[in-house]
Amino acid sequence: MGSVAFINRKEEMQVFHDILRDLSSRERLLRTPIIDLYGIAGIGKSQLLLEMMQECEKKNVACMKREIDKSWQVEGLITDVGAVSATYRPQALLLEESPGTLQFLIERTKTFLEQESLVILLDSIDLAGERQLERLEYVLGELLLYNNLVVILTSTRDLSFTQNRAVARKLRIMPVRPFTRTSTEEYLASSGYTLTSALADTVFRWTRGYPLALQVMLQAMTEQHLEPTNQHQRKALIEYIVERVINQRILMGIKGEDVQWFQTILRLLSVPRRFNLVILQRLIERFAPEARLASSLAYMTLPKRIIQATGGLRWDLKKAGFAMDDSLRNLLLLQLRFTNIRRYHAIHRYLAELNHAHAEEVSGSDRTRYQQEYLYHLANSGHHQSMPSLLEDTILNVVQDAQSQPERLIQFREDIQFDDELQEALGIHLARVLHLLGHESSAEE
Amino acid sequence: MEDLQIEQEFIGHQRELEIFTQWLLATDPQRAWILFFSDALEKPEQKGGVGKTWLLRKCAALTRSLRTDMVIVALDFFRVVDRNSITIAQSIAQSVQLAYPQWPATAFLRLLAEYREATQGHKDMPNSEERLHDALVADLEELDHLLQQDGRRVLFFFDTFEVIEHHPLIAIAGTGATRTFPARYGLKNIGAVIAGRNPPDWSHQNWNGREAEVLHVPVEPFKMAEMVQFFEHNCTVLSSQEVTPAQLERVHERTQGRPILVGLVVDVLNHHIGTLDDLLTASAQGFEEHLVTQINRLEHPVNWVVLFMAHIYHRFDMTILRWIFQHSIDIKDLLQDVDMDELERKLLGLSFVRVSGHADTLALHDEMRRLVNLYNWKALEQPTESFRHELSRVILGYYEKELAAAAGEQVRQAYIVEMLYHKLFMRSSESFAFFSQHFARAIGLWQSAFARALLEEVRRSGRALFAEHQDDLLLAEASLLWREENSAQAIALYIRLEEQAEGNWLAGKRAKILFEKATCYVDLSQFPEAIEAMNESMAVAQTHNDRNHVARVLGWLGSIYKGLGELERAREYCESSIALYREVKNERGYADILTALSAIYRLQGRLEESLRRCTVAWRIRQDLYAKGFGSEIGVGLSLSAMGATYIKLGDMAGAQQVFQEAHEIYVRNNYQQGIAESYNRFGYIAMTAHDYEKALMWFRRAYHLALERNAGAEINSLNKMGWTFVLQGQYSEAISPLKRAIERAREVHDDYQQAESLIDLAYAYAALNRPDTALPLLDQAEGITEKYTYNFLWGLVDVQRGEIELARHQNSNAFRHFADSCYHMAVYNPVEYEKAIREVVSRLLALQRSEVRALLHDLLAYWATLPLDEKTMADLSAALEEVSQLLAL
Repeated sequence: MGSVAFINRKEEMQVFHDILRDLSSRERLLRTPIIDLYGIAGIGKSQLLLEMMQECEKKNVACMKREIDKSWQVEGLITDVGAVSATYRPQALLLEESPGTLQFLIERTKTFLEQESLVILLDSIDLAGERQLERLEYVLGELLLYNNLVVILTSTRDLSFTQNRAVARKLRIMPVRPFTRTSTEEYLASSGYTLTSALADTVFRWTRGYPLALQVMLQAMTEQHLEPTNQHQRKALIEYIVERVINQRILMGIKGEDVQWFQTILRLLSVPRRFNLVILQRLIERFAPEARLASSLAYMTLPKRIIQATGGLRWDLKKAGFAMDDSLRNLLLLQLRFTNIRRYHAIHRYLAELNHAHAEEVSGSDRTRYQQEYLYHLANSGHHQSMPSLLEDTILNVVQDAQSQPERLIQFREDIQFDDELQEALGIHLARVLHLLGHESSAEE
Repeated sequence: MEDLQIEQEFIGHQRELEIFTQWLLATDPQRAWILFFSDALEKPEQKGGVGKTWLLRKCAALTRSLRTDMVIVALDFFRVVDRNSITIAQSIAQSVQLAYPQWPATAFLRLLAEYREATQGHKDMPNSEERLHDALVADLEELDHLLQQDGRRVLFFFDTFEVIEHHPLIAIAGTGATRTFPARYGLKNIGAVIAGRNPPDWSHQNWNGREAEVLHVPVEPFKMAEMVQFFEHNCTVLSSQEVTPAQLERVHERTQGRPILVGLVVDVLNHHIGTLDDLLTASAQGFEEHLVTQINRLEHPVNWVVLFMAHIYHRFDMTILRWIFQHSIDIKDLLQDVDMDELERKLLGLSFVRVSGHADTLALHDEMRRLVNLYNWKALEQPTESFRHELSRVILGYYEKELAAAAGEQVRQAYIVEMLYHKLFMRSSESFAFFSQHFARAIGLWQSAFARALLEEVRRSGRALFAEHQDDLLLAEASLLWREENSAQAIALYIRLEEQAEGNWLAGKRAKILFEKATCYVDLSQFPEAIEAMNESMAVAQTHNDRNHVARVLGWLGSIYKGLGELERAREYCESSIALYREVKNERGYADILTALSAIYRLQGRLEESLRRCTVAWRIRQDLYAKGFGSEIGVGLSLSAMGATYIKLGDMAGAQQVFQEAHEIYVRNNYQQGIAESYNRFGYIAMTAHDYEKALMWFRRAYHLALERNAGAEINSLNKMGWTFVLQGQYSEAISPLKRAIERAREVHDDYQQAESLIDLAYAYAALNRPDTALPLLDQAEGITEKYTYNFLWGLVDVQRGEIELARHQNSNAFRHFADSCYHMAVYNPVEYEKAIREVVSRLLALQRSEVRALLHDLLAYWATLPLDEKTMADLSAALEEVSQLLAL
């Protein structure tokens, strides 16, 4: 694989360019000099920091970058500031007293900031732990008065500073997202891969623009000669990707028996598009009984555990439930489908039943949501022969339900039209579904 | 400290504060003494979260700075323990003692200690709430003097009134239909500020006709400028300059300026959960849900703790949180590496979490609790409620532990109510049994506020109950309404049960329903209905061979007929009741009916029999008290009954002695109602001894003690004061107390005493030679006596009419009235009948002999038309014949 161009980060870099511009101007105030770039491992955060560092070098702005790990302490910045000072202000008088303390760090940095602007890049700050984050917040609170300090942080989950209002106000949170379809194509082109349009499409569908997955997949295709379109090779290919992306990277910090536990749970949770605590509990009890917990309440601990370990789970407001990170979920779902289709169908069937039952018990928009998920899982449940009649019954139920509230039917129809994944799952049945819902759009044509 | 926080953080509500300040500083004695804040928004789902609690705190802070002379008492009905008259009384005593350390509250504190001891030992302490209230009022009388001396006032702040708005009397002790919330506790310098979601309901009996007492102030949500100010003050990540006017307008429109939602918007922004644009993507209809579910995205474990607080809302602190984590399998992980102090700080950093009341517990804003349960829990555990069930299970363990060591009856009651909430939530099969057990105990101990709190918790739970539980609940409410002196509503519920309850259930409860309905009719003086229901109840109990119940009903029928003056029938019922109680060896019931029977014998003139019965009852009650099965007050009541008989026997020394013993018991038990009655008895003895000065002194003391606490004794003392003046020939002086007695009797619907005072007043006017004023009073009195067949009083009306006719020289008319009087007394009891005959004879003998012959003929002819039995008829006829012979006519 050749060198890869820096792709798809215009928004983030524009923000950074604006900051550098403001830094160079004494008249402009830095509105949000602290930025937290967050996203799952391999999404491109470190790459962004590298790019920012290069920008600083180009613009001759003092910059220091530090990879954070669990042993990192804020005082470690003293050495970094010292090194930057040595480079940019060798004549600056450095304080000698109380070396190694936070106050020393603050004073040393202040001395530097009185002369120069400074950009600090801290990668994987969330590994540092709460205590160090609080201390960092304190240091930043002391330094931000200078208006020529910029701090860029990366993390797998969004940060918040709660000790110091001034610091909290200066923090901006920016999610780092996967590549779009277009950016993926740009990436492929810049990496020197020549793929047919169909193959590029497959690569995107597999990776959903997740840079690390893209990189690993292309590597496997070139070095291992594994083709996604080859029925016999795709299983090995997905195993290869999951091993490198999930097991070696996302679960990098997990040790011992926990690795298998996380693999099992993540794979299981990749099947539902949304879930709440009840679905989480039932799924585990049914399909991973070895991981079942002693009481209902205990399942409350799982989201925190998964989020802390992987950053790959969050409460999704639009879905009104927990949802796995799209990119991770897609890889794990493919793995399950290619390696154990019976289990894949069984879990979907179970989720279809569960959503169907839940839909019967609730009303309003909750009911519509469960019906939509029921449809999705039904379409993936392997009922190929009976699918038309099952879908027909389902849709007729939905239509009947909506008789007193026609707006619900309109909403349901619109939801399906914007739900690419459901459309893909319905495949040839989509047209029939939309027809039954009274839709005579281009989809039917 | 709190005042400083309020000073720094309070925003908006300037109009409401101006109104409060004017009200606070006003000196007009006619101004409303209650200021009532309620939500200006009218839709129920938009009420709450408008900032009333903060407003109330701000008002309290303003009071502390503007009126240092005010003694502040703050209570929040959000806390179960505060929904109780005894807790309120305690808070008053504590707050006042802070301001007046020299005020000892001796009677109250002593009784409170006794009450605690009694409840801890599960001993019977009847009328405990009323007695504590009376003791407090007695102590406050002393305070009132101090307050007036220093020109100071007491100001109450009551928050979350909506929780008790349907039954506000649970927050007041005492008795009498005229009780209203807030109570004045006999204080002249008093004010109250109430905050509730809904405005006062003027049709509710608590507020009916009280518009002049209340200044109602609707509390508006934030206006745009206030919302911007709130943003500026609280939003740490955005200043208002960084938000476009269009965005602010949309936030204002979506939140409707409700501070609870505006605060949550700011929380979401401060915690970087979402941006303003993210929030505003939701439709106007879905905005609230969209906003509130953002709480699920707060950092761990803050998000879970907020959810826990929404479910375990009655009380919440870090100890409880630790308990949950330690006693729930596998959720310790949620707290791994969490510094509890830091967690508490983060929770309090949220706009909707506050420190609640004086117990320093954390509380979720009440409206946010509703919203989190509605949206967040639903999203997490739909369609089950299994996670909250598990939480309830865990927290019940905590309550059981705490209950075992609970200090104080109020705390114990609060724990039980809170446990009931969790049992109901879990749909636990034993939840209703738990309710029934504690409700029955509360009813038995006359802890009406506690019983009401339990009942309301069941109602609020909204859980679908089995049909038979619905009926049980209605029956429980009816019993409670009777104890709350709301007999009319109680009767409506009993009738509903008779019409709608499930057949088998009704068959098992019919005797009880009919009996309780009958007691309500008695309270309303609807005696025919009461007798009918009692008889039906007895018939049902007989088919079930429930002899205790039959005995009880027979006793009640005896009391009803005694009230109606049908003494022989009353005696028969009581004798039957006694016989049955003896059979079933129910000593308490036996003693009660013996006492009642002694009163009947007394009225019948069978005084020795009367005395024997009440003496035996007294001995039994003494034994029961010694064994802890009865109260000492019962012993005092038997002594009082003995005293009444001694008076009839003319043994004033004996009467004085037993009244004195009864009085000492009442004082020992701080039974104010009894003490006031004793004073009236002492006054009566003095009056019969013609020691009018002393009599007036006792009646005055009785009056002051009974004032606004015991309307019956209050009216009696006024009546006797008036009659003492009459006996001294000071008719003009008699008019005022008698008029006040009539007025007060009208207020509390005490028809008997009203009629009695009307007759006495008519007597005074007649003596002042003002028959035209006297006669309409007698018409009024006769209307009452006829309606309720108060034969004794009816007889007195006729005596008065006769006297007026005599004064007008209309002798024929006069003696017809005297004959009518004899008739009513004959129906009433033989003693009074004999007395009436004596009086007729003496009046005849006072006339010219020439007049008597014609009158005698006329009288005998009229007498023969009256519907009396032959023997009774013969008594007067014989007396008249004798007069005729003696005068040799």
